[in-house]
Amino acid sequence: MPTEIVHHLSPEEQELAKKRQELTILQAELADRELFLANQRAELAAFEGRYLREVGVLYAELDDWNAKIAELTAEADGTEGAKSAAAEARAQAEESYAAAHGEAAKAAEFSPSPELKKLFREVVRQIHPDNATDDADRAVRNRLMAEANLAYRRGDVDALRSILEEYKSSPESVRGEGVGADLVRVLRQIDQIIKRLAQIDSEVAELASSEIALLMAKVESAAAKGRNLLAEMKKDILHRIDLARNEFEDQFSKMRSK
Amino acid sequence: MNAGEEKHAALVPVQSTGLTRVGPKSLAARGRADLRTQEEAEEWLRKGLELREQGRYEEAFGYFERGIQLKPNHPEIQFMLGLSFSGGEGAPRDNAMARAWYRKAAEQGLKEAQYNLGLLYYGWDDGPGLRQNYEEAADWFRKAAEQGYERAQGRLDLLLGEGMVVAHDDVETHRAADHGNKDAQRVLGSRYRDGQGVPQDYAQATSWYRKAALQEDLSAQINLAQMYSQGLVPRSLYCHFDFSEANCEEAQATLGLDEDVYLRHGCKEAAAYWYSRAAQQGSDTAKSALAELQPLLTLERAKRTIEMSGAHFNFGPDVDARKKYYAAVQEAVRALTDAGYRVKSAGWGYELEDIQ
Repeated sequence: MPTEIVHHLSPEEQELAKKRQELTILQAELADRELFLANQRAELAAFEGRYLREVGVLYAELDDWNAKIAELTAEADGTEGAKSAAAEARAQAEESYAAAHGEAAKAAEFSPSPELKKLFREVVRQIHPDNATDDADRAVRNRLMAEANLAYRRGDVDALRSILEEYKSSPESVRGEGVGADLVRVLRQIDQIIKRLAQIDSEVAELASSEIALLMAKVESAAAKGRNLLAEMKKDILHRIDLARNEFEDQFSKMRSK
Repeated sequence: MNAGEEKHAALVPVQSTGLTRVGPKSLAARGRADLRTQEEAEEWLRKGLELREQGRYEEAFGYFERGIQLKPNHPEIQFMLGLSFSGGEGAPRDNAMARAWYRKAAEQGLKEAQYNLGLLYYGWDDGPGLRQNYEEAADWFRKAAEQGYERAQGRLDLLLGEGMVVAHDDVETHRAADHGNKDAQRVLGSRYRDGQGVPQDYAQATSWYRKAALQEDLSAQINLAQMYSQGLVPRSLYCHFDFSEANCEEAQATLGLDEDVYLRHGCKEAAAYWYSRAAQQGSDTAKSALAELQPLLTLERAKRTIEMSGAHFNFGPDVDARKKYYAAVQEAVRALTDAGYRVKSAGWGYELEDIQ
């Protein structure tokens, strides 16, 4: 009967195996949370884009009419108070215009495909900077992760694929040797991921309490009750624009007739 | 708006009075703030409605005022203010104020406000400073009816039917006609007779003309008479024709006849009937048409009497009826002989000899 050779793991090796298991679980959780955060950001950006395009532009138009009225009043009154009120109203109008027509207003609708989500999770699992083993590796991962975030936002499946390819072929993905070194590296990765998870939580909380998120929550809960809040807001502002325009025209014709 | 309305409407805040610099707030924050203000205004509205339910009108009115201060463009609150002023519920009764508020809500498309504004113009509730204006009333009823408000359609139909306002399109002409407007009925009659914008249809033309003619519309009566005398009215409609009012025995005697008898005789009786109704109203056209028709009618009636004379009449013991019948036959024979016909004895009665 042949003697069975049993390889007994050293305590260090046992610890490494345990920690590697722990790391795998944490990496999966990190991928989920990063995906969630990316989705939250993208959804909010998309909502903000829609809000600015539909409602924001109307606020800008309203402010423009109000500035015109204030300017007309300043012209008629000639007082310092009226002049500064006009300047302030104009500044407000410009601010609103810039906000309503800025970069944020260009955000397109966001509806990620299952394939896109899967790819992004894979990218996070493999490339996340918090899996980095050293500073050089981290630098590469940071760059690729930033690119991946943009690609996800764009819904660019091909870009995500090529990011994965690029990382696989980079020398940083090759691991070092030696149990002791490996254990140190794994422990450091675990530590980084736990920190990042906490950071994601606070980022999600921060996003959720942003003005745009609160507005979106309001719009969504109204939609569940069959109310279209954005449409109501549009109607309300449009009506205020009508009133402001009429008022401007009244004032204008009164000034002309003098 | 007239001057009175302008004065009242000035109580409604204009856009710029509510103006404050929003500052460097994000547009999202501004949207949220506006929504909060709206919610607050709607809360006042809701409480006000509750109080009204309990008959606490003055308190309710105060709540509506607070709501409108927060949201000057809120159509439902504007409507409730209009209602308060028009009914004098919680506010002094003031139809001009009511109209100013209703108008603001109506212009934003609130159908109840459009309807009530229409009622004010209709003069439903006559108050000081309000002029009746049926066209204006109809315009607001139209707008509310377009949103499916049935009461408004009913009011509009009434205005159309009574001829208080002019129909705007073919649909309204039909509604006016359906609701008894004789002008619209006559217009439809002519349209169907001539095929203007509709396929030509003499049956439709007859029945619309007839509705107007029964309401003593002179030109409908003459047009209907002309259609009869030209033989354009289908016999099926003649059969249902009601001469009883006219107490016109000869005409009634021709109801339910064969097609050829109808065309030769019945048509002429009906034409004469309607000409005579028009003549009673003093129409010279109708009088001369009737005079022209009279000899022909006399002859046709005589022919009918002769044709019927062969039938066996059982007068029984009614001697007067028998005498009357023989007298009529004798008269018919005389009239026909005078007109150059030859009448000969046949069986129980007489018959006409064919002459060229």
